[in-house]
Amino acid sequence: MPMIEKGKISSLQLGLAMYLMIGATSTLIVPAISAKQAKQDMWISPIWGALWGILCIFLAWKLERLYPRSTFVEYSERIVGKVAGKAISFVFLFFLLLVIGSIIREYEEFIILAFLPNTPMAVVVAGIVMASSFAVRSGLEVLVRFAVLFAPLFGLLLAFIFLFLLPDLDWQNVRPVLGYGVMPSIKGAIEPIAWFIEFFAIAFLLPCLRNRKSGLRAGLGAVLAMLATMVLAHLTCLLLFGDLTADLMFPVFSASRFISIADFFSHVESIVATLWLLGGFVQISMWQYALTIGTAQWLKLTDYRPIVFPLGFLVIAFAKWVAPNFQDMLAFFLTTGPVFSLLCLVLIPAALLFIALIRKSFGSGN
Amino acid sequence: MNGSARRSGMGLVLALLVASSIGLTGCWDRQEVNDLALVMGAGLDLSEDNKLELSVQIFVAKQAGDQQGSAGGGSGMSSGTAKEQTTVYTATGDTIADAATKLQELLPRKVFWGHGEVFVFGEQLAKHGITDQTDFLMRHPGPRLGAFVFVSKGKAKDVMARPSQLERNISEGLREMAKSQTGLRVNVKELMQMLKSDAGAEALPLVSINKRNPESNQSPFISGTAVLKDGKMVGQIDEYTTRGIMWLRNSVKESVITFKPAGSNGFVSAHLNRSKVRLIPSIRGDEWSIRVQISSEANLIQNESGLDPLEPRQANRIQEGLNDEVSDRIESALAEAQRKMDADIFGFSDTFRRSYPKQWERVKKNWSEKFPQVRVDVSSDVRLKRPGFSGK
Amino acid sequence: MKLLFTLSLALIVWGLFRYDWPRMNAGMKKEKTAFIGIIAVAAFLSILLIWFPRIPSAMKMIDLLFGPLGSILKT
Repeated sequence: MPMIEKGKISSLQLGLAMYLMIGATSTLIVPAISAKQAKQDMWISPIWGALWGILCIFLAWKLERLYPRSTFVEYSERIVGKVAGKAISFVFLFFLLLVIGSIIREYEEFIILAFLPNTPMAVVVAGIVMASSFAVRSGLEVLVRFAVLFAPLFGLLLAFIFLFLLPDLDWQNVRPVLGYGVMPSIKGAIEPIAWFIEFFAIAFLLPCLRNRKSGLRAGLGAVLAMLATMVLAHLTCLLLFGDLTADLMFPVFSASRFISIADFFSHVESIVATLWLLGGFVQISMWQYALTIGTAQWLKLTDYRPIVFPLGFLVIAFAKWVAPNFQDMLAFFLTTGPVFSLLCLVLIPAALLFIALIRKSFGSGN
Repeated sequence: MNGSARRSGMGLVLALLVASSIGLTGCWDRQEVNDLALVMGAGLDLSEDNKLELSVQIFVAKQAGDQQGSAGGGSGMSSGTAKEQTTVYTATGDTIADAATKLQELLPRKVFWGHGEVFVFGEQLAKHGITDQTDFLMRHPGPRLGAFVFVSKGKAKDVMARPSQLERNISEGLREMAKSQTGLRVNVKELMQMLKSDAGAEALPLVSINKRNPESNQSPFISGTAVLKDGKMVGQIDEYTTRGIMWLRNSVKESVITFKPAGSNGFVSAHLNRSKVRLIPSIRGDEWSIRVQISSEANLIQNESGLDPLEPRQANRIQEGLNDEVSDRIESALAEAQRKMDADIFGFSDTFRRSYPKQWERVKKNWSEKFPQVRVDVSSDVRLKRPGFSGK
Repeated sequence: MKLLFTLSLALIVWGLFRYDWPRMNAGMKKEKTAFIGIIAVAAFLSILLIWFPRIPSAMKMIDLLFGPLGSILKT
């Protein structure tokens, strides 16, 4: 099996890369969305999401076990044949484009709203994509080093926001815990689930793992880390804002603006936004890497590097094409988005796994 | 071939770097500090034709002693003492945002809300309703949710124009007073939470201009509490009863209580701190009640009662007197807010919702009928810890 | 404005070629085709977006496919 990516990564690098790949944007708007349905139980919703995350890690891992050192694009052709496989991969790649476009769009909307209202959208987007394109072009090993560097910073950032806000947090806000049954937290879990199933993307990185056996551990570790981060973010918003969380667009950011220690440590939002963006940079780079590798494999190229920038260009166009404005994007996240994600990240992989297992058990080798 | 390709590659990279440095500096949104008009505090009033009058206190980052002029559709007032470095500008519009735009027309610098620490609603506007205007505070990215909110007796504009006793300007003065908690302390976030909650009532500190003491230069101070229902002011509560309200809301940091112990002729003053108040709800059948449990520590600071604090039984009488006084204040707060105004400014609705969600859902719509019927039992456990430096 | 964007677009495409083309000279025909192909698609999409900003967005198109399912979640 020709490996386009020559690099090899360790399980720690894999875990941290996955953590940022999914987690960076998760803390941006998800608390506001969970709050609408789950209200005081919103901190429980990520737990339901994590279960789905574990499912997707498992799907990706099992598929890789069956087809060692292959990615999604490669084994889908082997499972359902060339034509169907290429079709499925195409849908998946289109999905990737959509995901990257959405992520970039989220960041861009946030930056423009909070900091740079007059800057044209294209400038913000192009800036981010240029940086990530250079990173992707440098190869996987470089990318994961960024992740190892920034992931702890990101996690610490959230922990610090929580700590600095401790005096302002009202723990009574979690009551009545499950006071209206378990349904509210489940209803509020739709968004967290939509995020956690993105963990299937580990399918693109597993082939490059140095020690194949540690893939499952790395993936599960990342899910756990993300769960902790998400719960912390949700708790922070709940304990600080209570019902108000549902009315804020970027609750964690608004929370960070609230920090004021002893009259001199305040207005820290610039630091917060910077660290956030660092996490986002890794996230966007990772997804762009998945897109690039996937496309290269789909086209059976020998080297993915030449198409990095063209794809970057395409990504910029997609970031604009994804939605005409913020409200529409949000509406999509709440309705059709999760459906499409579920299809690409859970249903299709599960179907492929199912078929693959049947083929294997009927001894057709392959 | 290779060499020249290399060089042109380098040239391209260089060109890219130069080009990106233009884009990366965020040219579109550059804001120099001395191009900004920093809003320290804002006053909101109802103008004669029912429009919104916005008065902002702008911090001027230059030498004190400069006087600002006024122009056009608004007016500027300058508090002209040497230590003042702020000026108040006023503009009128249909909404805060509209008024802010008109304000911007008056100013050579861009209005910057990021330092706004204080928002004051004028009495007329408060009676008219503040809900609409608070939307601006939450939606616009500029104002901070941690800024403090007040209602002023009379026009907010007058309050903003007054000098501050010891701080640089009145916005800072009000902020410090809110923090020291001589009265209620409410920030924008808490106000929005109160407006959103099912309690249907809000309480904000009331600011008046100090006309009693001529030397104070008429500087504003917190004189009581404004009570609002659904964002409209329905009444006010004096300083004495405000204490009771603060006890019930568990927002007393420290306080001084002066009282006459039973059977003595002199006053005792005690300083309380480490105050903690718990509201314990209970529902028995149709009867809803709340037990208010107060615990605190007290040190004597003045004793004219003739009772000896070192003697256990007499110390007990002092302690009892103390507890009675605290209970009295709470009673008076309840009499005003619960029975007279039917305004749940204590968060009883949330207290019941958290412990009895199912029963709460049934009563939610009729809270204004149920609330006055809630029986409140006060048990005050303030302990006299220290008699002070003197042992008499 | 639109002209400005289109010009910058042309500049970007030119830049992309300048940067990568020399590195692909070792007879990587497939890569060259892919390179041109993707840039073509991206350029097409970008020009479309610059000159006709009101075309239905990608999300709208997915909405058409999954419409009814999405409204279930609208609860």
